[in-house]
Amino acid sequence: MAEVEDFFKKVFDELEGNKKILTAVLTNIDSEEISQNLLGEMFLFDEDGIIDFSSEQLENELEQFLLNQDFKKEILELRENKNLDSQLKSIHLDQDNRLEIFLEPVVDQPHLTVFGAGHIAEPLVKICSLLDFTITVVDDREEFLNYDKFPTADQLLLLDYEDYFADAKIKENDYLVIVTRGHQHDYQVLKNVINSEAAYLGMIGSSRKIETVYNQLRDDGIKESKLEAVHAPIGLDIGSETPAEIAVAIAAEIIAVRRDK
Amino acid sequence: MKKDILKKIIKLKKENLKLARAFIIQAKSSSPRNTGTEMLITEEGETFGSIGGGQDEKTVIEKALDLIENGKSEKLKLTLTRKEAAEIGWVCGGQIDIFIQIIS
Repeated sequence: MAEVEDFFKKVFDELEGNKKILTAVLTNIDSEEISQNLLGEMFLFDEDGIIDFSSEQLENELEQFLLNQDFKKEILELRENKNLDSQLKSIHLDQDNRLEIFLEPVVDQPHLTVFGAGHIAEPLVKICSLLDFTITVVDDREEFLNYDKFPTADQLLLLDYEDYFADAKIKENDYLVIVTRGHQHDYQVLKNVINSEAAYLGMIGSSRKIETVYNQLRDDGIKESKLEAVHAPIGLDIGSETPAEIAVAIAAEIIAVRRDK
Repeated sequence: MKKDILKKIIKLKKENLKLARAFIIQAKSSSPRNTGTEMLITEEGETFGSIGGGQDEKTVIEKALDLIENGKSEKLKLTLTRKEAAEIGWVCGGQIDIFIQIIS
């Protein structure tokens, strides 16, 4: 039926606008006035209220309750619950009518892009795939980029870094780790992403190398505040020495950013 | 709901396939992180995503196929033994409620 399809398209379109949206699925209906066949139907809402219903019948049957202040208030309370995980909620439409709804934020899974397929990337990709990230590794060296080395990567891109940026769009749920083979490449990548909306931007290197790269970027007119937002030296300071230990430190830093710590 | 699942639903609906989305709505005695874990099942038995694998996932898939035929969404309660729970990485046994949502 086109109706349901349209509903999901609507959800998708709303998500593209980077808005916080929530869906609610009717998982139990305890009511004389709401038809049982509406079980599994959904509605979509944001901070301003309900945007769409999965069927006209649902809209029609809920309409009378939408005028009810208590129900309105309950919906508002639901969306005020910031950063919420999925949860089951019981809502009172009025004294005699109750719905159980499953409330879910629609989320874009965080994405990790690792620039450079060297010895840090290998353990980092392994660890981050356990953390529910989808993962892309970019490098211009074919011998480093293969699924034997990165069995859990979602995408391996054999490209010059400049070519990668020709059509890459970096969004706010992107996490970027720069671990290329040399500071000239690190500079090139960082220059391309420093003004992006990425949630996390980290670059490996000694303080001296970092300063060299930053000076080049200053010459390019990059603002100091942008440089300060880069996580460099990369990773939490846990005294890491081996590549795997460094990868753990980077992953920990990524978790901290993701969880607003 | 994850964006990639949403994309998949739109794609499968374009192909005019009937499908079900199964997701964990409540999990007692386990980490709340599991709530919202979801998978898609098409009328042809193809699946996308996973709600943990094992025998329980098989039960859910079979139930979903039945429900797709009837066109009715339903709540399913599964009780996990300690051993079954351990197999899917949960600390201890308990009950999980799964909702099978028909998208027809």
